[in-house]
Amino acid sequence: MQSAAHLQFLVREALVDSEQAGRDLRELLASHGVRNSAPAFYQMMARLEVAGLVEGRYDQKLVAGQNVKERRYRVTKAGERSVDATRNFYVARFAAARPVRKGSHA
Amino acid sequence: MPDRWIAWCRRLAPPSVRDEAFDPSVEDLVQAACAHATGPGRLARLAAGLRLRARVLVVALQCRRLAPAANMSARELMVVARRLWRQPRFTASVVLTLALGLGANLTVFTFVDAFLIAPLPVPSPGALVRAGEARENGEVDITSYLNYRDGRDAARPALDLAAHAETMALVGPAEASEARPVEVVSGNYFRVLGVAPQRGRLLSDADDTAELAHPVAVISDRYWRSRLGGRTDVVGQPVFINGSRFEIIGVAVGVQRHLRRAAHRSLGAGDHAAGGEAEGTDAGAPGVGMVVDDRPDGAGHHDHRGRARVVARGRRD
Repeated sequence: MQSAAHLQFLVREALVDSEQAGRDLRELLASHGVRNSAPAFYQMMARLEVAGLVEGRYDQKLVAGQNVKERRYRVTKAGERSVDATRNFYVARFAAARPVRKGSHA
Repeated sequence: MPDRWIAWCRRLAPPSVRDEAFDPSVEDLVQAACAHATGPGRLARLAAGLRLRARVLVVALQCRRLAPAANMSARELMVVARRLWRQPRFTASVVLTLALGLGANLTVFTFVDAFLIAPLPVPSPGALVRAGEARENGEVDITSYLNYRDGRDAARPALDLAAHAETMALVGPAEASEARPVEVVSGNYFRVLGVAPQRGRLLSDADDTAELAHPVAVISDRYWRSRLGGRTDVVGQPVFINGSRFEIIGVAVGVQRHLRRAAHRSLGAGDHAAGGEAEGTDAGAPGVGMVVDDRPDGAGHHDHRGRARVVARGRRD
């Protein structure tokens, strides 16, 4: 049984293709209707970092003439394996699932 | 950029989530504020700054709510409460174990406090020392009454020595007597301790000098209340000790915690009647300890103790 929560799976799947900033990941979650507070989101990312599934770093950038730091994340090899395992698990379960017929549960 | 405000709010965030949650969250806010700070007006910049400060403060408060320690402790407390509620037998055993353990500890500590820690219930407990007779091996032991009397006379006026001996006796009338601890004391005992009488009077030196006079006793406040019903006319009433009749001359207040004795009597007044015939009557017969009173001559307690030892050693044999 896969232990990854759906939010963690969503974040890691978004990071498989490219490195992304925390702000962008939050916008991605918001597009799926998830509106956690910023501290709650970065706390979840910190837990993923501690688990070794993602890596985070600060990136210095110039915005409107001011230097600001941005937290950027990328998925690790272990994170990629975890995403693949989770995806395969749900694909297999979906393929094995029988279609629900109308009125069969009555 | 309000760096000082951010630093202050950062201190509000718990250290456990400060680096992981607060710093990147506030960087997001700052980045958004910089990107949208396009208003040229002074009022717009002021409003944007206030908005940013408020949001940083909200982030700090959200970090406090995220603190894992607080959340975990509250959650664990709820789990413990639910488990105890669902297992009444286990809860009862836990409560019973705690009650027995706490009760036993409280009882032991009460005795230790009464006998070892709490100061003597006398006006000047620091001015009292225990004295004894010095043995050849350097130990200090109890001494005889005659040795005490010679030492007391030789030590005056620098020291005031009082003697006391503990024993058990049958107290009360013959048909209803009970074994209780009593203390045989010298006439100056209460004066040395500085204890005041609650009723009547206490023993005095005159009770020592009156050889074979009518025996008198001072009862403790606890004995007065528990056995004599706290009657107001207790002074002058008889009390029987080992079958001999003693006259109650007073009640000592506040000494029962220290002395824990039911009655006190003078050595000179009734030593033949209270089951202690040998005590304090022959030189060399052990039986009495001594209490030394401080005198206002500026000498320290160690000097008193040394002086008492010297006095006792000089009278041995």
